[in-house]
Amino acid sequence: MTPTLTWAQLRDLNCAELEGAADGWGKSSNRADAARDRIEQQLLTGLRDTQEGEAAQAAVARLRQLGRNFQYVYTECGLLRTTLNSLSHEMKTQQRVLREALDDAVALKFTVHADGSVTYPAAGEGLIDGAPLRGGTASSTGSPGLVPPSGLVAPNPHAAKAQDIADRVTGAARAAAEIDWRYAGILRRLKAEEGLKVPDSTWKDAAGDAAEVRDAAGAYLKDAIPRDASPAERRDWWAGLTQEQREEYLAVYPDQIGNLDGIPALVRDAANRDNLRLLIGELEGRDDEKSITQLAGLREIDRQLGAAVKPGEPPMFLLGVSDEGNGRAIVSYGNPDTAKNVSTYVPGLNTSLDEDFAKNDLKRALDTAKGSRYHDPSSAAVAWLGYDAPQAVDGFSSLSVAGDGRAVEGGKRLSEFTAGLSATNENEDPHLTAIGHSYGSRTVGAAATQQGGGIPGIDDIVLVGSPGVGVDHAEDLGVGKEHVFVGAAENDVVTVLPSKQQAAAGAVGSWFGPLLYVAGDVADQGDDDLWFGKDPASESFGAKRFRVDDGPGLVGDFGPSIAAHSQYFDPKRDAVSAHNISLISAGRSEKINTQEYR
Amino acid sequence: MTAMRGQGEPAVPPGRGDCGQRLKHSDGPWLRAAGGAEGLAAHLGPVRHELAAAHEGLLAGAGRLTALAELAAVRESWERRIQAAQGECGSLAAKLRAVARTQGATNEAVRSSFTAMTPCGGDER
Repeated sequence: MTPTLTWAQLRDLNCAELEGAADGWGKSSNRADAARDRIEQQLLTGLRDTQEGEAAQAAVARLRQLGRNFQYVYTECGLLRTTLNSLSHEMKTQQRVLREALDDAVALKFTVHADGSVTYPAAGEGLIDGAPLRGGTASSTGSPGLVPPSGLVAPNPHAAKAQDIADRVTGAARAAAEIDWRYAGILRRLKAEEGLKVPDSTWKDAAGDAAEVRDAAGAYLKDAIPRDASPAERRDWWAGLTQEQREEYLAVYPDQIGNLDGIPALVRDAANRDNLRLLIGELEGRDDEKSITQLAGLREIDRQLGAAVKPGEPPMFLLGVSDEGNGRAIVSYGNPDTAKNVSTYVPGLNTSLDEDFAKNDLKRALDTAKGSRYHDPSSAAVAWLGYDAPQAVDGFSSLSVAGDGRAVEGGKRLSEFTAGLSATNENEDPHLTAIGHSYGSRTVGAAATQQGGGIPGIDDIVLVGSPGVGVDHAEDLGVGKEHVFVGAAENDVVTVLPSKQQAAAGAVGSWFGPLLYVAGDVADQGDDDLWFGKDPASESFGAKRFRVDDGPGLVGDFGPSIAAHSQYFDPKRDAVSAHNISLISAGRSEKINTQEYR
Repeated sequence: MTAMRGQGEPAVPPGRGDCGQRLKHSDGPWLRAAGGAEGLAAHLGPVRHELAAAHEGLLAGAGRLTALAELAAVRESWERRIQAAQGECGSLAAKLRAVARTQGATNEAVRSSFTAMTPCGGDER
């Protein structure tokens, strides 16, 4: 690599022209984005919803492909824009260094030559004769000036200054040449692939392109994303950006903007739809088990996002997605920024980003959204997989392995998420509900006790299938005990887990361990302690217990089972529970059916 | 960036699905999609010119950079890609119109065979 660029070329470089070119790419990117939207919202909708038969399917397939093509064009042209803006920014930095050096030279009456060397006039006094010392030329290439300083001859006082100027001039030109070379490499990789198709391999390359541009543009997009700020501050930061800045952040950092609490839901959704494509492209090439599992989950989410919204059902918003940890996915049914009621369902034990989550956990939120909208049309429901839930590789003993750690970490993330919901919700007084299922209820409990005042923005708390929430009294959850609601099916094995003390006796070790607990229970009648503290369905806990179906028992419909743990949200299998959850989420908790305490 | 997606009501034309004897196909959506595809081709029309205008000064002024030699090739590649997309829009529009014509003829044939039993007033196009 021997890049060359003279300082005069650097000086004459018109960076405004680079920025003008960047604007051109921004326009192309926006045109592609608009084209993709038109395909989704106008062309596809009409055919998808009203046509049947092969001709319609073929047309829909070609339109979809065209839509993906525009998404690719949008992404890459957006990256091109930022690349050119960033190139301009870096060049301007070097131009500034150069200009200051040249100004200094003029002020001192030095001459800067084309090769970067600097000539200075005679000055100072000789030690012996007192005559001015001869001038000379300083150059930063290493060759000495005409009069090398020595111990016997006092240096011309200009010599050091000239050397400094020469170093700055040559340094700026060299740095500019290096920048030019680096950006040439980035641009080379941003060439379009031929044709119309966008296979996963192309998305994989696009993910690499984004990462590269991000590395390069770090200095340019220096208004760093305020990761450490509060969600409300991030909302204000976003609101204060120009449209062009927003577009650039979305092009270069879709993964960060899409997953940042405090950013409006519509923006997160748009960014995450891009993230989803990029993630699928990235995971496609991997053959480890985790990647394959997550890929199946992402593909299922992608399928649901691409399907037509059924009449009467709320539209889907992708508020978060990533392959961090066991995977992250946050989906809202209904716009959480415009809905007055927003519930957030926190899943528990065994949940991770996989096909099961994408099908069943999302359905729980969808069912809650549909139910709530029956009571108040201004309702949305979120499925929040924003933390690493414990995985039951070793049955319930996983709980002891996971302990409180996952809940504590998850609680912080949950608080941030709900603070974001509060910050971006456009209603004057939104009604927010946190719903914890299984270990998710422990996570909700952790969030509620981590900072004064409970979970940010949360008005009502629903705990279902809970192994305990980490506090012994509902009033400790920060919303007032009359706003804590508990659903506990009589046959739900998790809600009758023994306390740690009981388990210490060795009764629990596998999914079927609780059967042993039944024997233990006989020896410990009347105990209301669960794994993570007091049974929330007990009177002493002090929450409102709402009616749920007992759920199927393990043998002959009797005894605790895992099936009874999994139907609280299901309007078919447990209509009364789903109904009660919907009422609470819609802010109509006064209408719930209650159930006697345990 | 237009952030809304997947929203909005399906664009089903009013008053067109009420005749019991018609096929599931109605040429409304086909023609509308064809018009939409043509609209897209037109929407992409200015891209080449916009890019050319945006790069005009660049080639004259900052032309010494190696990066700009690459940029010229990059631009060509995207112009080709967008042109291909434009071509696809045009080809899709023609196909969608053809389907609409075929479906129209089929509907006509089906309708005439049912005319005696169920007159479908106001269904002519």
